[in-house]
Amino acid sequence: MIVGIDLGTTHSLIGCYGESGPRLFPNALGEFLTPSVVSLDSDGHALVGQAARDRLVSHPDASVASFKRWMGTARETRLGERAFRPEELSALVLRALLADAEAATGEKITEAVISVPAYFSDAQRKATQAAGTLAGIKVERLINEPTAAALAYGLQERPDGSRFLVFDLGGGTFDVSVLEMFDGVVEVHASAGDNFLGGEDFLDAMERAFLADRGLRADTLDAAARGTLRQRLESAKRSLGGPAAAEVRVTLGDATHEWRIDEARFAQLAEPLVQRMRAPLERAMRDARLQPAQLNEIVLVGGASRMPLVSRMVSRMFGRLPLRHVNPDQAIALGACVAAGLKARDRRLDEVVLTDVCPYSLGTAVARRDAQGRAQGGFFEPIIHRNTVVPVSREQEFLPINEGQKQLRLDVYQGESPLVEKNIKLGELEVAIDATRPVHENAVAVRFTYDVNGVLQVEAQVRSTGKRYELVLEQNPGLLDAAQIRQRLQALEEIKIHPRSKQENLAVLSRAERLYEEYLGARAQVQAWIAQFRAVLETQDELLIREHRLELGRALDSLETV
Amino acid sequence: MWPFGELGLAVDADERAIKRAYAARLRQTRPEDDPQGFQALHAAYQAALASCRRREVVPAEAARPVAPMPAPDDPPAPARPAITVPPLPAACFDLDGFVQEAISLAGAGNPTALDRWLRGIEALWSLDTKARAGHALVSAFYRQVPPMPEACLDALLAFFGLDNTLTGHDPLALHQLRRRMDLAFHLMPARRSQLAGRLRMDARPARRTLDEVLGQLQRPFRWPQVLLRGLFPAFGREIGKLVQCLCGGHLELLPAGIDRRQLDFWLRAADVRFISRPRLVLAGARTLVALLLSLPVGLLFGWVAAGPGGGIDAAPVGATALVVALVCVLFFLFAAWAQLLRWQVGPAPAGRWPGRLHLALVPLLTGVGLVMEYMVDTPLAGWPMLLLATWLALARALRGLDIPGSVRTWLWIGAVMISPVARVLAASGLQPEWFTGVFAGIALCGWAAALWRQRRAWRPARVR
Repeated sequence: MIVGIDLGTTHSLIGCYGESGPRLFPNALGEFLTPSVVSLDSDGHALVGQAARDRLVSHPDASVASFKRWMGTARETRLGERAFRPEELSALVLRALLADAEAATGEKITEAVISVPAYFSDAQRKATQAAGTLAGIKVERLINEPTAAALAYGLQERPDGSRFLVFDLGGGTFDVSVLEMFDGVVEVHASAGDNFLGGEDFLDAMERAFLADRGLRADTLDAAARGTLRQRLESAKRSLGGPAAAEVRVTLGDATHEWRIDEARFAQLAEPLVQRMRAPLERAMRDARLQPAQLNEIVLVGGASRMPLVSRMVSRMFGRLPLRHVNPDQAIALGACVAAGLKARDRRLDEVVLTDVCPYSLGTAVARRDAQGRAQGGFFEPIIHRNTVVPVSREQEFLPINEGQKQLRLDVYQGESPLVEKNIKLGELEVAIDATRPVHENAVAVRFTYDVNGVLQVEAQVRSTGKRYELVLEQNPGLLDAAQIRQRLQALEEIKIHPRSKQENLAVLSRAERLYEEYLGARAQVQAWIAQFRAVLETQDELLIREHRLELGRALDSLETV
Repeated sequence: MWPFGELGLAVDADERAIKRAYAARLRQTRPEDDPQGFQALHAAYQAALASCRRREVVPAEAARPVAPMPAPDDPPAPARPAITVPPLPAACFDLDGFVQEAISLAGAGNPTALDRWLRGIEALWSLDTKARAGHALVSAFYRQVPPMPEACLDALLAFFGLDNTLTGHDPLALHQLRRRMDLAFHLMPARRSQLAGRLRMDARPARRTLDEVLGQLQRPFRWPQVLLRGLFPAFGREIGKLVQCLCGGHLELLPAGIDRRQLDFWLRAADVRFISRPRLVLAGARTLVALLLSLPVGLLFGWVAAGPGGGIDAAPVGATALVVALVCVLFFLFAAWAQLLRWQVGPAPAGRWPGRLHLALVPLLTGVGLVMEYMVDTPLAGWPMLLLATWLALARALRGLDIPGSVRTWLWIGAVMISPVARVLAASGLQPEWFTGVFAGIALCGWAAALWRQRRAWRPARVR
């Protein structure tokens, strides 16, 4: 069976394409959304999800969140004794999700379709695939998040013959896709985005404003206090929207701070972030060669798109266009499930064909001759233009610059700047050419092939000799090679995730520990509760534990609402 | 195959029919199963759509009415406030005014302020207006080349999304425009002290030179003034240096305020590699002035020589003028020789006869030297010719070879010493013909060696 997974910055979901369409699997706590947070406890077991999220406050040194932002880099995070790469942390989340799916279906899961931000680079995509391998599954396909959302939306609404724009503002990434649907074809026209813009950045802006207003400095707060503060600010952010101001009341160290933020202040704080959302929207529309009037609808997905200022901004840019909020948290996961169904050749999806685009330009460095005939180097020549429908294979010919040149170096770049120095270098290929031939007889044909999973292959052929060269993209320092993945897979298997049956107990316990940190006044009380619950756990009497857990949950609820 | 044929359609099929046919074929040719078939199908689809849209004067999409905005229909979010939509400002946006204001703000040189101003313009939130404004701005830049620093231009281009590929602007042209605008900005009179700082010319004498040089370049070309300036050779060199610093030899980047005739004149005058008209004119002017100046000096000498008796002795006057004239002639000869040497050592010129002369100059000179040696009844009559031929041949043969500096020095000392040594030998009774033969041989061998080294260039002509 193939599952669909939305591996998000703040939350992750898993599901499959079932009898009645896409279906999501709940985790042990009965929720579809599993926070993408990993924590290690004292005996080396990994916790994933809500329990780990609570431990961000109580055990900040052993817990980590938002690691999707580091995918594709070699950054390591130390949890307890061991350092983890972002792929490994993602793999732990995937393993927890897979356990939920296996519990729900009773089948062993071996294959998955994972959604990634449309604007993820080559390195980030490879890292996501490595995370799947580390979790013990084969990643059959990576699907772009806005495309997934559109699939889910499109199959649900069947808006035949319509064009729409998917605006996906997630926890850590921002994506825009322009799509068209007709006769079961889901055709992506253009995608653009910003890999470092999401709900977390809005929270950062609030946190900075809070600290500035209170005269505090971020480095004087300990990790636990910061965790508390961020969770309070997050709930304040969610409650914004009406004319009423949101109140934040938080105890940091010895002092209790009260802070008010209203919609206008928040809009002012968010202004630079809103400005950053303009460029991807404009580029996607330009690349799709569409006027705003030619769009039928704008679909908002991603949790952060709930912020009222997002809809305000979209209508500011597009004029009076219908906006549609499609189940912001689940749309991408549902779409990933549909993609999994497509991959598994589900009969019910026979009518549906999806064509996607390559979101960035891929090309090589060239020199150009100016009006005076001088060669000027450092220009980027795109071979696969951004937003070309994939799979695609394009060939272009290049000539050496000088007479008598023996070698031609092909630098492969990804990016949008006309100058290569501002783009990302993916690799290079040395092609030997015949120095005795004149320049125009030394053409080298360069072929770029880009497949549906975003894997790039570069070939060069010297026209005169017919000799072929193929590019092996050099090992990116941010990526693991096959041997390293095998080695890390073994290391990771030693880390056990708590069994699902214990998850609910752990979640309650972690929550109690968080409240112990947050509510100084009730510390003794919470500590007593924790001790009592631990004692009950020792008895291993399922019924008794269940009773106590519910009771403890209610007690914690009442503590938090006070 | 024709796109319509590939889709199984008649050539007058409309957009709806094209899409339906494409969708039907796509189910058989899925992108993940048959990449090549899919690419061909998609190319046919795009071509058919493009030709269909060309055919329709009014595109079908534009005619389709956009539904009025219904209330957002997502019940679980009751807290969402009504969306306020600003009035559409596209029609009343003053494009020219915007372009002029953007140019004047960017000319102030503060990219942050410029960016803030751009972001605050409400009308530019509309995608249409923004696209039009961006293109109006860039075409105004090409027309006017307004002075602005690179950072400001980059801020403008980034704001309008024109800083990436596939915007339809030629990257090289845009890159050169950026450099021209930046240069024009730094050459503005108000920015003179920053420019001096950038060129490390802010010490007082250097600063004065900078002002003089830029003032000269911005003045219209007038012969008397230019000749007066050109009396001091250092001035031309300063202009050459500064222009190199400013634009690295890319003269087309200099702003329109620089007089091109001035620029061309001074750069050619400063280029000692070639004998050019400006160099000849300036050298002539300098010679004339030197001769004129020699007159009062000569008169002074004559007055001193005549002694207290009064009157002026004529001989020193003539002698001074003669010395000055001789120095000038020597200088001209030296320049001519340097030019000849450079021409011989350099690559063959393009024309047929110049090319042949370039190739055969050394044997020609050797031949003339030998003929003079044996025909003219004076010992060592052909010697100067042979000396020149040997020198040229050795320079050609040794070109590009990595010879240590000390060896090179000794070679030249030897060449210069040949003449006096030969005279001494001739005076001591040895036959000079013997030496002329040896040196003619050296010249021809050196010439042949140079030819051998350049044998690649002498291959049969290739098809161009």
